[in-house]
Amino acid sequence: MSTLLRVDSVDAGYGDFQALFGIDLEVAEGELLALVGANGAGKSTLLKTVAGALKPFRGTIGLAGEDVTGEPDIRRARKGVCLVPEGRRLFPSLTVEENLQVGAATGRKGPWNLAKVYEAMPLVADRRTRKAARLSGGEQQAVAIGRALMGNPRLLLLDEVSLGLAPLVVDQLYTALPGIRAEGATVILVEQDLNRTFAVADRIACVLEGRIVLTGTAAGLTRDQVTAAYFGTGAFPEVKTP
Amino acid sequence: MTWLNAILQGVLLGGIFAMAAAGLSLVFGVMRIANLAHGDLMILGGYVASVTAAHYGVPVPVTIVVSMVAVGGLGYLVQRSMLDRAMGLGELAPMLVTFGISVIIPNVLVQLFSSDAQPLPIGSLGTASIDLGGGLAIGWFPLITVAAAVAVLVSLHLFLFRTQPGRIVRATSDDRAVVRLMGVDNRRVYALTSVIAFATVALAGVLYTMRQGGVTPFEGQLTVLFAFETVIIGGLGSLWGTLAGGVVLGVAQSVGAQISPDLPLLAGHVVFLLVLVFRPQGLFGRSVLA
Repeated sequence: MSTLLRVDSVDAGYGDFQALFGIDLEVAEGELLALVGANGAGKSTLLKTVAGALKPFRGTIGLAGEDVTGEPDIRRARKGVCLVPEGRRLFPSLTVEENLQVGAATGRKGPWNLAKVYEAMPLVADRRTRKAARLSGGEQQAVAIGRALMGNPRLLLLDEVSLGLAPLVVDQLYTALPGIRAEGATVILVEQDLNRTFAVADRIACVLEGRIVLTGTAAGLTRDQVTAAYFGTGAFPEVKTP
Repeated sequence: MTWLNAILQGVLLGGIFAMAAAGLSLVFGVMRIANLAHGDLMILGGYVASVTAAHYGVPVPVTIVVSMVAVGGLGYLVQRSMLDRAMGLGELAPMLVTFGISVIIPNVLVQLFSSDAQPLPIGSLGTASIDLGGGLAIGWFPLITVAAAVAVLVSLHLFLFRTQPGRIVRATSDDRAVVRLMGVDNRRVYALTSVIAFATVALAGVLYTMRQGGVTPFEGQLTVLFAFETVIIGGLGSLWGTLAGGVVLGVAQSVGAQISPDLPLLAGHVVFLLVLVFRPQGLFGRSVLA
C-alpha cells in the first residue's frame, strides 16, 4: 500500500504556544488511523495542521508524495483533504441540503453526491429542509460528516465525532463508516472511546502532551498499553513527569 | 386625496432607498463591514453617468451600464487592495477605510467638477405620468425606479438562495473559516460581494440623479443616512425587509413634506428613531442565530 499522508517532524501551535512537538506520522492509502489522547493532547491541532488550517512552525506535510506544507487549507481541500471540524461548525442559517451542497465546493469528482449521502445517512435525509441551527447534536454531526463527504475526500479527518452525543446516536454515526471506507477514503479519526477505537481502527496513534508516544496496529496493541499512553503512565522514557 | 397621493409618491420614492440599501445590507451581512462610503459611492455612480453623458456623448440609458461596470470594478479594487487587508486587522479597521473613502470621493469630485450640479437629463420621461383619476397620478420614471428596485432585490434573492455561488456567499457569511475547508477562497467571495454591492448602489445613484435632475458632490452624506435608515427599519439580513424599509422611509418623508416643506427629512428620522426604540430588530428582522 502506498503512503497517502506523511507528517515529518512537525512542530505546530498557536502564537507563542506550542502544541505539537516533532510529530512523525504516516498513513497508508485506504487506512483508518485513530488518534487517541486526553483533552489538550494536541489531536485537534494535528488534524488542523494536516488540513492546512494551521501552518506548522517546522516540519513538512506530504500528500501522496507531494509536499503540501506551504499550501493553505483551500488548496488542500481541493486536493481531497476534508476536515470535519471540532464542534461540527455547520452553517446555521443554511438548510441541511444547502450545507451539503456547499460541501461540494471542492469541485472534486467522485462517488459522493446528495443522493448517496442521503442513502448512507438516513438521519440526514429526513432533515434536508431544516435549518442547521435547529438540529440536534447527533443530526448536526451527521450533516457535518455528510458535508465533508460531498467534497469527495481522499483523506477524511474526523475530529471528536462522538463528543457530547448519546451512545445510541454515536452508534448510528459509526454505521456509516464502513460505507465511507468502501468508497476509497482514507480516514483519520479522533475518538475518546477505546472500545470503539479498537473496533474500527486499523492503526492507533496515542498523543500525549503534543507528542506521539505510541503507534501500532489495533490488533497488535493491548488496551493496557493504550491506556498507559493516554495517561502518560508506565514505561515511556520520553515523558517526564514533574 | 392629497394624503393618498403623498403616500403613493412615498412608496415610489422608497424604491430608490431600497435599491441603495440592498448593497449596504449585503456587505454588512457577508463581511460585517458597515460601509460608511455607501452614500458617496451612490453619488459617484450618478457622476459617472452624468459625466459620460455630458462629456462623451454616451446615450443616457447606456450610462446606467457604464456606471455599474465602473463602480463595480472599483468595488473589486477597493476590496482586494484595502478591505481584505483591513479585515485582518480587526473589526474597526475596515470601517475606518470606508470612512476614508467617504471623505475622498466628494472632495475629488469637487476638485474635478466643482460643486455645481452635474445634470443628467432624461427628457420627457421625467414628467410623463399615468393619470389614475381623482387627482392621483403615477410618474413613469418613479414607477420604473420601483420596478428596477424590485427587479434588483428579486435577482439578488434568487442569486443568494437558488444558485451555488449564492449559497457559498451565505455560507461564508455564517462561517468564513469553515468554507475554506471546502476549498472556497473567502476573499473571492468578498470580492464578488463588493462588486455586486458597488454595482447596485451605482444603479441606485444613477436613478437618484435622474430623479433629481442632477447631482452634487456632497449629497452622499445624506444618501448614506437614508441607506442606513432603510436597512435598520427593514431589519438586517432580509431583502424584503429592505424593500419595506425603503417604502416606510419614503412614505414618512413624503407625508412629512405634505405637512410642511421643511419636514421630510425630520419625519424620516423620527420614524427611524421610533423603529429603533420599539422594534430594534427592524420590521422584518430575523433573530440572529448563534
